[in-house]
Amino acid sequence: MTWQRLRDTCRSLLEAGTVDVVIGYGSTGGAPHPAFVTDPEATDQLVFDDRCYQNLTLYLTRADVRRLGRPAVVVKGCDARAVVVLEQEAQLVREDVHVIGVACDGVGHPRAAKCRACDVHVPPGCDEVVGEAAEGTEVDGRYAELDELMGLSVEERFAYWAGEMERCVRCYACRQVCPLCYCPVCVMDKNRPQVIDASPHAKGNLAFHITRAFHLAGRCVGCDECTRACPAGINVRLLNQSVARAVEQQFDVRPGMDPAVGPVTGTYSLADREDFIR
Amino acid sequence: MSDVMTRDVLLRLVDEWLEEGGVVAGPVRRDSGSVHFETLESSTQLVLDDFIHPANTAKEYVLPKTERLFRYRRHGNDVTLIDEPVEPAPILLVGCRPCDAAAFPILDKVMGWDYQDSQYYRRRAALTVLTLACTEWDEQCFCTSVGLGPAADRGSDALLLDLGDGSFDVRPLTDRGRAALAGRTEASDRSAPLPAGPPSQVDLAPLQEILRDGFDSPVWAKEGLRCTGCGACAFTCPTCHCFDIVDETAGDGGCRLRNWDSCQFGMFTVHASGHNPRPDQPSRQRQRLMHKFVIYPDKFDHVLCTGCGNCYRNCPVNLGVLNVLKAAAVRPSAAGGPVSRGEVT
Repeated sequence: MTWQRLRDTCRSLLEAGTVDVVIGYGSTGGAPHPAFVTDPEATDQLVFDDRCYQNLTLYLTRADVRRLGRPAVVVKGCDARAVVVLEQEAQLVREDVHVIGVACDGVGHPRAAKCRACDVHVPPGCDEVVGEAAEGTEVDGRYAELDELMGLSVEERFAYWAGEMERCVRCYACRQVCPLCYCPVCVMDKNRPQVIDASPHAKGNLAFHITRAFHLAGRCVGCDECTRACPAGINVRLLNQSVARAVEQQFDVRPGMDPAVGPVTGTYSLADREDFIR
Repeated sequence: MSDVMTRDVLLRLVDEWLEEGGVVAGPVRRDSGSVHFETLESSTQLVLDDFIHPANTAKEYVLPKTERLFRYRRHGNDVTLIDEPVEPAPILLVGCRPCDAAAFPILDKVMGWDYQDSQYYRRRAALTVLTLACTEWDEQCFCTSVGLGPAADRGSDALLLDLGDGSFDVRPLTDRGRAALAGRTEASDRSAPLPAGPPSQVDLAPLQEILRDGFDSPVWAKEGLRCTGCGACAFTCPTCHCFDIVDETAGDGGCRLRNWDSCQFGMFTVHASGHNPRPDQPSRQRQRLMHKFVIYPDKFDHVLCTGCGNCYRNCPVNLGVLNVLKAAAVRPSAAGGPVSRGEVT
């Protein structure tokens, strides 16, 4: 059983002193949630099922979590890609993190949108992978939802986004759950001078969401935690996908898929296409 | 005997209120399936069944997420302030949950304590609250733990109980409620049984003493570490009311606005020097709990919580007030108990 293998793995790592803390999914009966396990005896509370939504790599850059010592982190396929990007951006030293992949058939009932188009059911680049994924690994239609939106006229799309932006309350859940939004001071919080309007009105919200999407250009790994976290139900994914597709089309890069392929915004190559610069 | 009103009559009230230029808000189901409390354009949008609680709350009709307080214009060294008091149309809240309605008297106290917040009270005076009693609840509902319940009438102008046959047992509570419903109800010998609600999950009195003594409790670190520091809990809480004041300047003029703020943001307490007295999420979670269950009750004799459960449902990491309360309810000294044992937070 995957749970037992996961628990045994984590217990061994803690007992051997290989790691000081396991960042995993814990449950004492209710829905699983992020858990920080330092005691080998407590590994029996670790679980993995299709309610394990969170991207736990979020915590790898958090100062209060780093104080717990050398971490092991439990990752799904989408989450594993974030480890690669964090390493490429020098936010962690890969050898200092023990990455435990769990083969994943997707999360949510019904399956989350990202899972229906997932091609990383087995997390890449992990120190070990627990379990086996039953679902297929080759999926078409990664951008099907975006295609549908882009099929609308410019006016219709603007009306759609104006309505969505209206809902944003600026709780910043999308930012806070994002493992790649690790800046100690976010540009949204800069107020001397105020860079982006902090107010959740049409102008401020539009500025926030566009800035956020651009800051994730060539970096977003599509874990889609931002969309899930949004209490207003805004489909943040569509903004991320729009930028991700441009990066994929122009640079042939899907962030975090290949550690050998450098970060798009931090790499220069004479072979870079430039025909789109007009 | 009771007063009974059919659904059709209620929907007609909504449409007539709109035709007369009023604002009506109620639960609306989005395409994604989630229910949000929103301004209605027509009664056909109103959803009265098959949801526990909207993902947001009705508080934004008295305390909007952003509102302009005044404008200003600079002339050399002089500044002219231009007052812009809100003049809200009559606002009808339909299908408000009892836990949302009960938040209004709680907000009234803090908004009228040492200063009468004119913007808030203008909106409040325009409000008529028609509350729909709950017939179902989920594991996150804990209204009965904070002195309320699925048919609590606190803060409502009228309470509607579903008779299950397309009509409501209507209980007007205030003149405003009676005025809104005048001529729309019929006397009947049917009345709805009062729903029991979720079993009470925490005993508040001893818990408040534990919290008072528990500033340095290990509970905060254990429960609070996973908090991501977003404001989803506060912004979907019917009682959270903290706000930030910002100026938005363009050229020689601008405006001052008030926006929702959350004690879970690092920016909430950071000093001009850079020092932050609440440096991490555990200390911010502690503040959230202390404010709700110690600080506010000390001042206003009621907890700053209506047990709606939104803080859990909207939390990306399944935290929520109830979970932290339950964890805090076990004194850390209780050897072998969940807190002292748990390495899992």
